[in-house]
Amino acid sequence: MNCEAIKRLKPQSVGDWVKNNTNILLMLLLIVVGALTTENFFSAGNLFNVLRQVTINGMLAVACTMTLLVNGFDLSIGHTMALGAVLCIGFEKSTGSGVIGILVALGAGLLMGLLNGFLMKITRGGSGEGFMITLATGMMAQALAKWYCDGSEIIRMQIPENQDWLRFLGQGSALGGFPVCAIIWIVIMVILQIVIKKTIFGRQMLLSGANKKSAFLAGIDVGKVKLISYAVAGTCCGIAAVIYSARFNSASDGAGVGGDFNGAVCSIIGGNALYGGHGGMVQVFIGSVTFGLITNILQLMGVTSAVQYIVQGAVLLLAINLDRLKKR
Amino acid sequence: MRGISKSFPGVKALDNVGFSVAEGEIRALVGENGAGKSTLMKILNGNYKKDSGEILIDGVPVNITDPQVAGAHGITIIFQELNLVDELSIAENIFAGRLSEKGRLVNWKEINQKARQLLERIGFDADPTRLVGSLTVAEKQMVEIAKALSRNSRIILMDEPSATLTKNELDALFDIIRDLKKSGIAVIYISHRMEEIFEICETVTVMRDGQIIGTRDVASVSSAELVEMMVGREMSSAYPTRNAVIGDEVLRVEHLCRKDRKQDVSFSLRSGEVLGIAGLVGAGRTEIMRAVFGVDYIKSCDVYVRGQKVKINNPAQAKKHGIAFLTEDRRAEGLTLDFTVKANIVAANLPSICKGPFTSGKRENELADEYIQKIRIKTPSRSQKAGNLSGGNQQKVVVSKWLNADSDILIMDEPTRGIDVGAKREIYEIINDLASQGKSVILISSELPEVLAMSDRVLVVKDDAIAAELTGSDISAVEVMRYAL
Repeated sequence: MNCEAIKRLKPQSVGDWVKNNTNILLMLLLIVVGALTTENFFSAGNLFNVLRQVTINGMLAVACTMTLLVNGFDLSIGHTMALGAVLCIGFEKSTGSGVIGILVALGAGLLMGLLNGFLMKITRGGSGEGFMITLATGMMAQALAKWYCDGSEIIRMQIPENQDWLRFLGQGSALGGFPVCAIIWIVIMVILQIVIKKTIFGRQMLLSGANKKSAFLAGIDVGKVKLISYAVAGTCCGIAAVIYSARFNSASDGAGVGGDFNGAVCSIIGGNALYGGHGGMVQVFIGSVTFGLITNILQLMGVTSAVQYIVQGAVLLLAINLDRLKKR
Repeated sequence: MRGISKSFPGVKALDNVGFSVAEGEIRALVGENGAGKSTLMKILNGNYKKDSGEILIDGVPVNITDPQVAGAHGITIIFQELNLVDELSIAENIFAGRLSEKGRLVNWKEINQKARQLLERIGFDADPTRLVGSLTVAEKQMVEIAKALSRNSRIILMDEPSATLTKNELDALFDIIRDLKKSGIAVIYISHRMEEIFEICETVTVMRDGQIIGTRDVASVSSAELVEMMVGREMSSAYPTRNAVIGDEVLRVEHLCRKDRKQDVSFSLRSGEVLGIAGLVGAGRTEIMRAVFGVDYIKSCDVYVRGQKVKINNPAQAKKHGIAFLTEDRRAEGLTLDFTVKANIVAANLPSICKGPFTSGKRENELADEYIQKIRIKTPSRSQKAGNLSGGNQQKVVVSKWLNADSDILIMDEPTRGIDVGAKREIYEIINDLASQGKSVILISSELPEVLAMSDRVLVVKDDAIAAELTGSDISAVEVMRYAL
C-alpha cells in the first residue's frame, strides 16, 4: 500500500467520532439542559408534548430533506403548507367532508412538488437553481393562499369533539397518550427512510445528489429522480398542512412563513448534507427534536423572539460549518 | 532541500530527503503514485509544512510558509488538476490577483495584450478574452503554463503537464522549456512518460516510498533501469501479450452525424477485439464515442448491436445493450468520490443487489468483494471512500462497475492517464482478459505506444472523421501519424 493512500485511510479516532456525531451529542446536551431546567422533563406527558410541538416542523424537515438529498433545495415548503392548510379548512367547510379537505391539501402539495420538480428537471439545476426556483414558486403558493382566504384567517367550522376525527389527527392521542400527529410523522419517516436506504430509487436519489454527471453516465434518469423527489417533498408539505389545520383549527396565508427555514435547520442540524448524497430520516428526527428543545428552552428562559431567532440562526450556521468540517 | 521529512497521521511521506537542482537544469522527478513526489514539491511550493530539514535557495536558507512566499522566491508549480476559473477569461486567469497596481483601475487592453504575448510564446493561438470554460482540457493546460510564465519564476515545477497534450503541443512545450533553460530557469518535470523524460530532461531523480533512490544523467541510464528503481523489482515488458480470437460483429455504427459537423462516421467492432482509436487531442475521438453512448445529441445515426438495429438516446439505453463508457475524467464522471468503493461498484446495476423489492447490503458486500478480488483493487476495505484510492485503483473500480452491469462492449477513454507504471500494466492485463473472454474494447488513447501495442485494429481520427483504418502490419507509429496530422 503506498504512502498517499495510507495517509488518507487512517482509522477513526475519537476526534473523528465526535465530528461525525455532533448531531446526537447536541441533542443529548439539550436533553440534559432540559432535564435540569424543567420539572418532570422525562415524564411521559412532557415528552409527548415535545413530540407534538416538533411534528409540524419535523414534517417540513422531511420535505426539505427529500430535496436536499438530490442536491436541491426547497424554499417553498412553508408556503405550500400554508396553501394546503387553507385549502383543507376551506374545502372541509364548503363540502362538509374532512376527507375532501385532506385530499385537496395533499393534492395541492403534490402539484407544487411536481411543479418544482419539473422546473428543476428542465433547468437541470442544482441547489442554486433550486433555491431561486422554489423561492418563486413559494411566493406563488403564498399568493394563492392569500387569494383563497381573502387575506384573512380561515377558521374551521365547529364540530363536536367526538365526531371530529380530523381534529383527532392533529390534537389527539393514541396508544396511551402518544400524540397522533407525531405517530403520522414517525410513520412517514420510517417509510421514507426505507425508501432511501433500501430501494433502488433511494440509491438513485443519493447517486443523483452526490454526482449527477456520474449518475447520468451510469444510466440513471437524474431528471426523473429529482422530479419524483420534489413531488414527494410537496406531498409531505401537504401532510404538514393537514396536521396544521387539524391542530390549530385555523390557517392563513402567513401560516408558512419561516417554515422553509425551520425545515432546513432541523434537517441540517440533524446531520443531513447540504449538497446531497448523504443523510436520511434519522437525522431529521434528531434535528427536529434538537431544534424543538432549543426553542422550548429559550421560551422557558423567557427570551424574546428576536433573541430566539438569533440563536436559531447561529445554530444553523454551526450546523453548516460542521457539515463542511465533516467533508474534509 | 536537505534532510526533509514529513509525516502525516499514520505514514511517513518523506524520510530525510535531499534534493537539489542547478540553475537552468531540466530535472525529471519520477516514482510510482505515493512515492512522495507530490509531497516533496508541495513542501517546496509552500502548500505543506515540512516537519524537519531545510530549504536553501542560492545557498541561503529560506522559510517557505505558503505559496505566495514560494512565488516571491521564484518558485511556481503547475498542478495536474487545473487551477483555473471557468467563468473568467484567459487573461483574467493568467493575471488573477495581479490585474492592476493597488488603487488603480485595470487596464484591460494592456492585460489582454500581455496575455496574448504569453500565449504566442507557447504557440497557443487564442483570443485572451475567451472564457476558460470554453477551452478543452489540453488548452486549459496551456493557460496554466502561460500563468506560470507570467510570474517570472526561477524554478518551475510541472506536475504531469503532458497528460493531455498532443504531439505538436508537447513539442511546443519542450521548446518553451528549452527557452526557460537558456534564461537560467530550472524546470522540475514530474511525469510517468518515459519517452518525454528521455527527450527533454537532462537528469532524473527517482523516488520510492518517501525516499530518494538516486539521481542519474538521462544520457547514461535506460528506461528499464529507471522503472526498476521506481518499483524496486524487475519489470518485464510493459505491455502484456495475448492471442487474439476475434469473432463476429457486435457493434456497427453507420453514418453518425453530429450537430454542426459535416462528416459522418461509420465503423464496426467484433467480439474479442481491441479497437484502438488514435488521433491528435481535439480530433473528436471522445465526441464520437459520447455520441454512440447517447450522451450527446446527434443529428442521425444507425447503430446495430449484434446485427439488430437499436436506438440509443441516452446512457441508460446504451447500458441496456451492453455498452459501457469509461470516461476520460474518472474522478468527476466515472465515480462518485464521496461514496464507498462498494457503492460505486454496484452503481450501474442497482437491480444486481436486490433481494426482492429491497436492496441488500449483504449482496452489495458480496459483489464488491468479488470484484475487489477478481480485478485486484487495492483498498483496505470495501467501505473505503472511492476518492481515497489511487488513480489506478479508482480506474479498476470504474471497470468493475461496468462489468457488474454486464457490459460486453467497453469504450475506454484514456484509461491509463495519470496512472503509474505498475498499475498501468494491470489495466492492460484487464483489457486483455476482457478481450479473451469475448468482450470487446474500444480503446481511445493519446499514448501512441499504448494504442499500438494493445490494439488489434486501429482507427485514426482526424477532424471528426475516420481518416484511416489500420490492421496487421500497418499498425505503426508512422502510419498513424501520417493520417492523424
